[in-house]
Amino acid sequence: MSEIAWLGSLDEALRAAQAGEKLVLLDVFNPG
Amino acid sequence: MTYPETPVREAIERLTVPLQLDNTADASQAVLDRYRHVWTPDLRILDTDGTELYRWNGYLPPYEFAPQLIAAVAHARLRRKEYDAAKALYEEALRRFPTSLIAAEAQYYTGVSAYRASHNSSDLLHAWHELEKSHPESEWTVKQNF
Repeated sequence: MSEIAWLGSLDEALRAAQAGEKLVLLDVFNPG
Repeated sequence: MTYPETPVREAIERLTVPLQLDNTADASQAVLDRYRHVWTPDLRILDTDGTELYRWNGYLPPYEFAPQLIAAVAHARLRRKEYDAAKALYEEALRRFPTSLIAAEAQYYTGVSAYRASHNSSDLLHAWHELEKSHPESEWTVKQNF
């Protein structure tokens, strides 16, 4: 089963969204 | 775990560019301040310029996360005035997950997006009549009264 390719940078995600005509899903998590 | 489940992963990959930030990492703090982060799980749908279009907090199991995400992107499309795209996503959430917690809200906004696209009040009233029949106890049935 493949895993979701989460990005780790807002700027990178916004650039990818602009290029792909998608919206960004931001998930803020607590590792604890 | 919610994300490994196929319907969740499929919806995330099809509809969004996924971005994940650790709220304990120093590198995340500027973005967390920008979005006034308070509590996890913290999910946002962002426009391509970073504008927040929708948000929710709290854990959802896979069978609730998938319809919530689809409806969240529908809300975002609606706010971008992409009414046909919004309506199609609300209808997808309702068709695939008719008993989800988000179903009544999706039915409400199916009518809103249809009306905004057509300017035909019968589109709104038809969807809201269906809402009253399918979710008579919902807050969204209360909210449709005017």
